[in-house]
Amino acid sequence: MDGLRERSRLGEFWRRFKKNKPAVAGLAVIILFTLAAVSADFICDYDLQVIGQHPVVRLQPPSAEHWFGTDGFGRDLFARIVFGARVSLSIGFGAALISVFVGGILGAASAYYGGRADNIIMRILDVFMAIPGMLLLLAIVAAFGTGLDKMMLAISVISVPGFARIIRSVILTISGQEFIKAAKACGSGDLRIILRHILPNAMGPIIVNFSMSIAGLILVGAGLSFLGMGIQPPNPEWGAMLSEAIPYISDAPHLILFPGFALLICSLSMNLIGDGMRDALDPRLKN
Amino acid sequence: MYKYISKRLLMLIPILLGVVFIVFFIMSFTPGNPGRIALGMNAPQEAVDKYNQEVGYDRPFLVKYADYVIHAVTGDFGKSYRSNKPVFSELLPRFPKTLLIVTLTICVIGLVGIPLGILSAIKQYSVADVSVTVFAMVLAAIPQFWFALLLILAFSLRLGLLPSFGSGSLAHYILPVLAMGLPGSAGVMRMTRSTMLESIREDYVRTARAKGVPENVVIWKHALKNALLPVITMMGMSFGLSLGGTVMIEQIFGIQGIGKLMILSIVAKDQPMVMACTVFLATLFCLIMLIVDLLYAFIDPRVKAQFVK
Repeated sequence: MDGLRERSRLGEFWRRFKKNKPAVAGLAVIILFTLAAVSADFICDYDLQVIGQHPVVRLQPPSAEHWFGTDGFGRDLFARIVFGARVSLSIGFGAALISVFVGGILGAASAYYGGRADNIIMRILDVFMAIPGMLLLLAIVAAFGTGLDKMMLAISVISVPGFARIIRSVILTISGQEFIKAAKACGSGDLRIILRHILPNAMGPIIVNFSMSIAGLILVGAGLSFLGMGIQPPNPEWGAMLSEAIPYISDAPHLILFPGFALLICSLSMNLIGDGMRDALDPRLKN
Repeated sequence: MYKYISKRLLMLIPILLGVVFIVFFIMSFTPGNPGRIALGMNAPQEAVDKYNQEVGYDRPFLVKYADYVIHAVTGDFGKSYRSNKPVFSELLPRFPKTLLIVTLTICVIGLVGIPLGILSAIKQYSVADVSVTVFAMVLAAIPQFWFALLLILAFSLRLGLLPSFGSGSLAHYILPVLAMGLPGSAGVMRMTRSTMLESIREDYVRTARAKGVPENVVIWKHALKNALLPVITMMGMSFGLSLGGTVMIEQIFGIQGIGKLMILSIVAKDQPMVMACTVFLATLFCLIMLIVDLLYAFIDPRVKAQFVK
């Protein structure tokens, strides 16, 4: 009986989400990107096409052989973009997962314990939020170095405070409601209240914020690599590819266009999905 | 009101101490030591050790932090490892350029975002509204640095209209400011639209219409004034984003501002300079957010009433 109710709730969500055409299109694009990222090794040869240099065919415009043309080292741009999807998607989803987890714990502790704990946690997060994100990120990277794992952690550090605040306010709203008081009056313990009553009701807004944050995190990661502080060449990353393309900007504009469009389409789709999820979850929030 | 302002200014102190602590803590993990960086790879180990001792690199973390704060209060933020000059003598001359970019960016964000947001709210579901919504959607998703490259490609290389490198004239700032301002305006556009839609449906707007106030006055005076409050906060947040974004933009357009200095210092592992840039810009951001809060109290009598008592 329980499972049935849960499924129908999910079904209702999906039914409303499906009606939102842009969101479905966004989902399709992200699924496509994810499939490309997962099966990148079958689509193209990493050693040969992605990092192998072929000076003979450098800076070629798009053709049947090289769909997106080739870069300054004669590497196939399409192959690099496909492998780049791996990096960008893992940074986006990875950093968002870490931040929602850490932010969730901080926000929940803050909301649930209240009082002094709340005050301490929130003041510390205030300090983090007082530093412009990109600058904090650069300071972290300057100290800890570059690489995919470090980048993911660094990006999480700047997005945790936002998540913690949102989750705190979501939980505060829920725990102030009457059914929580009712549950308490019936003698439910803290753990039961958190797991059975607060968490299921908080899940919606948390998931929506999770999906809405991914696009921004992908762009931050790409920006960091663009500055040379993220994924290092010759590894394929969309932001790093753009910065490598700058010397060829007038001779080979395709080097600027394709990685940029990949980034734009990816973040646009994530935003559409986020909007669609928000509207499907709570139609009143629309507009 | 004065009490409120002074209270808010006092509250800045712990925040700034915290900011310095966090940045100091993070920077303390930087590999390498200042002596090696300042004196070069070939310097003898004794000279390096002596330098490290002079700058007090060997002391415990908290001592160093307290020392930094005490010196910072007197205006001494240390010397750059790279140039061996006080950090602010290098940082401050670069500040006007960064400030100009960020201020102009905020102007673009406001001048593009607010009118388009209003337009799409008062003509809800019209062609204009849909276009603005789609426009905002794309702008919100576009990476600033890529947008900057596209602008250079179009306006400097193809059309030859605007310069793409350096900061000699005001024309040099047009592309950098557009590259940050247009993507930045997306949020303000959406925010203005939604708050405007809310306030248009308020009772006092209906009352104004009912008593025969012209539609223009209803929109501009009654609805807009109330809709703009959250938008102002958002503009303040945009200021913080622009302070971060300027790092990339200055790098692309070759503008010698604080952002470019920061990248330079990170590459050179010039810790005092990175510290100074971060703390300086974070302080600036805190002050802006404070001004936003004060503006809020100034504009909204309801907020003001809370503090006058």
